[in-house]
Amino acid sequence: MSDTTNLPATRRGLELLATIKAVDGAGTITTKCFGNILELGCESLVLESHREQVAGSAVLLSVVFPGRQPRSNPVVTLNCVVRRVRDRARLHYDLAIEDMNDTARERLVEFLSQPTREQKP
Amino acid sequence: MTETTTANALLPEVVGIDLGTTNSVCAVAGRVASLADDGSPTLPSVVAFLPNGHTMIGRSARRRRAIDFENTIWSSKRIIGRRFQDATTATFRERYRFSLVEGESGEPLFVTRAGKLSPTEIAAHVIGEISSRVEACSEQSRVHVTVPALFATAQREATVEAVRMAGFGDVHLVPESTAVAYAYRALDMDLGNAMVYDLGGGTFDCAILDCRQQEPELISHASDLYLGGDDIDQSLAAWVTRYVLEKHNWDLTNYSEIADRLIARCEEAKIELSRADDATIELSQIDPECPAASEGVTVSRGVLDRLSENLVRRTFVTCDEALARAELRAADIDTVILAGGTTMLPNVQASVSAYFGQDGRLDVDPTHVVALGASLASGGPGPQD
Repeated sequence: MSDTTNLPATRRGLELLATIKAVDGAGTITTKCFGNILELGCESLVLESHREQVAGSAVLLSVVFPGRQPRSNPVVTLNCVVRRVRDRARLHYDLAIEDMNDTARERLVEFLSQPTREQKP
Repeated sequence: MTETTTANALLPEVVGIDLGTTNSVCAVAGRVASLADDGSPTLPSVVAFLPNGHTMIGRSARRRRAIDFENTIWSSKRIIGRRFQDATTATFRERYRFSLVEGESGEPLFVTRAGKLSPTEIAAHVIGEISSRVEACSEQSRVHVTVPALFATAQREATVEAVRMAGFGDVHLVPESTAVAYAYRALDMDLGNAMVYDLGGGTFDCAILDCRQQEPELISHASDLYLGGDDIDQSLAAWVTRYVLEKHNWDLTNYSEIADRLIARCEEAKIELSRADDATIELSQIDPECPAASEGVTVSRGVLDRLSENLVRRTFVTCDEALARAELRAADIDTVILAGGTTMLPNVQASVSAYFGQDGRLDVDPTHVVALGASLASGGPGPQD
């Protein structure tokens, strides 16, 4: 189990555009669509999808965190598994973040640690 | 208790509905109703059809514009009651990327994954959502739904049909400008000859009313069907597109879904600029593949003022028209009342003050005033009357 001490809190009330790529057992991308990340933590997120998702399926999420980040490639990729349907009527899903490289983790933590609009002076 | 009081107590309360091009608002007996979980009185007039067969209406539907624009319908009021072959519908098809086909009766139909739907059916979804969220709404409610003064018979009938499809039987139409006058009369204000300057999301309406009588009397009106906050959003989107093209050599208009996301973000920036000096549009939330996706484009209020200058000026051409029809001058207007969300922009308010030689009244929130007044109006005739 990962160490969850000192991890930034989950951010809610988000509307982060993400590209959703469904991945089959062989690791091949089968479909691609857009979604909104509504809640995001270090290990899980809530996704509003363009299409219905299947619990247990693997998806790749590509997202660019807002805010000025002078980087050559701002896209962060999150390997996720659809854990369960949160709200069937609204196509909202709970996803577990299974894997990400160090750069992705660093950017995720950086984004989650940013003061929200309400917190800014 | 007198017999009259008993009878009044049994009467259902009057429900006023401002079925707007961009947003809808509801008021019951002079009180604005909450239409969202967070208490917001504004319901975006947006309907989304989901792959699982569900329908989503309002703010959550508007959010889906970014990810599923083909199945998310908005601004449909522009073509309610129109025919597919009408010039207005042709303009709508040029401006919006919806898939529209001609129905058997010549009406325009939106093609969605839920089937082909008329603008009337889309409006019925919005009104149905209002009905489900407002406790005081029932099938017995007397509903006053507002319409622009220029709506022709077919448009008025289509609006009434939408309200009936949503389950209401007792439907009355109230001109939007008249509703505004009712809301201000409730404040015991002596309005005299009043000009209602109504700049909404999709259209601009101005109306001159004689409010010295018991009932406000419409003297003259004029409208611009394609002038509203949406046009400012489009101008801002064009400015951002040019900026990104010049600075990063990247075209944000290559894909319609990206262009639509840009317009949605520009609308948010415009609203922010009504109370802040600048606003940032995050490119990452528009086109993640843009080389400048990690940057934002900051827009100042000065830029927005410059971009909207001509559009605001156009409203006064329409005002000139209404004044000429009434054989009045701007100086003859006793009270100018502002309605519609776009009048929250400081440059709009300043321009109104300069044109009329007096500040526009904002005693009632301009986004609620139409619905509020509709719920207080004595009620116009039904379409069959």
